[in-house]
Amino acid sequence: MNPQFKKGVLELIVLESVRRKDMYGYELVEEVSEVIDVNEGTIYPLLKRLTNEHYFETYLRESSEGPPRKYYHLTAAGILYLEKLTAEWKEFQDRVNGFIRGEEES
Amino acid sequence: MVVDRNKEKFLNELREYLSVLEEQEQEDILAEYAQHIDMKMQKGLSEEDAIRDFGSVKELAAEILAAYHVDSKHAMSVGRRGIWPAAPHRYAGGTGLQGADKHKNGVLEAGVGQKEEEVSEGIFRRMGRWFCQAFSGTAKWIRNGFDRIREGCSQLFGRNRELNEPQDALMGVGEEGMSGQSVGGADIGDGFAGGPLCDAGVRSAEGGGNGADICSTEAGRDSTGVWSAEISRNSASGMSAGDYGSALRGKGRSLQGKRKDTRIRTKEKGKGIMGEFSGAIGRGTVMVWKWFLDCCIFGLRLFWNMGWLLFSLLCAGMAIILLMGIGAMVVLMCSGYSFMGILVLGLGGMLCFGALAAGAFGMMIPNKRANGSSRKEKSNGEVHYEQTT
Repeated sequence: MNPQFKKGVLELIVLESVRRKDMYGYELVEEVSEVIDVNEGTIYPLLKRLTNEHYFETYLRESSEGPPRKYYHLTAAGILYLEKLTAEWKEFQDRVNGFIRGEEES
Repeated sequence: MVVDRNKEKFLNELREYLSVLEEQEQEDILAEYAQHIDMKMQKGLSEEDAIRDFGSVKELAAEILAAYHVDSKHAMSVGRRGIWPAAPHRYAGGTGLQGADKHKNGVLEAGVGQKEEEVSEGIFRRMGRWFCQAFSGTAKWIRNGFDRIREGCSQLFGRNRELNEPQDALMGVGEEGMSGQSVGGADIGDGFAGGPLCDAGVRSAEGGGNGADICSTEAGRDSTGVWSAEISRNSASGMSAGDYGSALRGKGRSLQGKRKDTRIRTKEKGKGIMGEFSGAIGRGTVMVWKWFLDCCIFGLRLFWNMGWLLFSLLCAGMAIILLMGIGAMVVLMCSGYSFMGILVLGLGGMLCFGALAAGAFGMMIPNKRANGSSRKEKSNGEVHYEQTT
């Protein structure tokens, strides 16, 4: 996949993943990797940025498999931001698809 | 063990790149990456493979720093190890992060939005200075007005009517002294009625041809730099008007440009009982009026000072409250909240209230003499005035 496409939708996918369920870093990387092939190193900085912008909040939860894990939870601001991103994505998708279909028809 | 060293090497290298971040943030990030590597190892991957999936450490660190709105190139200038290659420059982006060398979200933001802060701080500083100057000027103007009124009242009702003869009077004395030789004793005596002064160490005699008192005036400057003038009533020194004029010849010019406070006491002789009685009544009336005026001035000054003191305390209290608010904002900003605008507003408010407090404090009238001199009256009727230069 085009890395520019991946870069554009990565934020949306991460936000949607965390909206469905609180996740820790590695779990989130695996979840996102199922959708798009992405470098693991880019997920953590994105999580950090979204946390710094108060779209995520974190908490520690004990794990039986090792040290406590840091879970990410979507905040109210994050939900609003996700809705805005989703709407923009749909509009963008419709326009691009319409344009491509128009090209194909013509 | 080689595997452990690779992981450690990766984390150490990443730590060096992230050295501009706060220690806690670094630990947090590194712990997350370490946990990620451990989990991948649990899934069966080797540590080298797990680390390799992260890609270039430098690019990874640049992305992490970008998440903190820190320019990775600029990080070199503030990092501990200085491993970033490029020269520092300001990061133009960001989401309202401003302020140089301040922590926000655990980031040491050196150079971010520094120019904007300088501009805003300069405006507030200038405003504060302008307010301070305006208030100080107004306070000085009002205080000078009150001083003049008080001085006028004290000159009108007080005993020191001939006090504080200005430099012009001194110059006049010198000129009269110079002219005394030619015009005769009567002229010299008249000339000294306005305030006879002599230069340091010069003894002069006022020769009144019409039977007036003959006074000798000593004006000297003591070793401590205090100007003093002692006027005492003496008997005739035998100096004629011509001698007096000669004595003052050449001294008149030296008197010019020197400032002294002096007072002459004239005593009228030859008055009868009625004259003394009427004089006593007059002096008593003047004293009562002076006392009344002093009370009024004291009350007005007390009222004035109390008012400004209360206002100053109020402003100072507001400034302190704002300072506390700024402290709280800084703490919240360190926790990640974006309160830069409110912080700058609070800072400006604090400066304004501080300037108001200082100005109000400056409006208070100090309890001192208008001319800064202190008056000492000796038991033998001599009046001694000291003025610190």
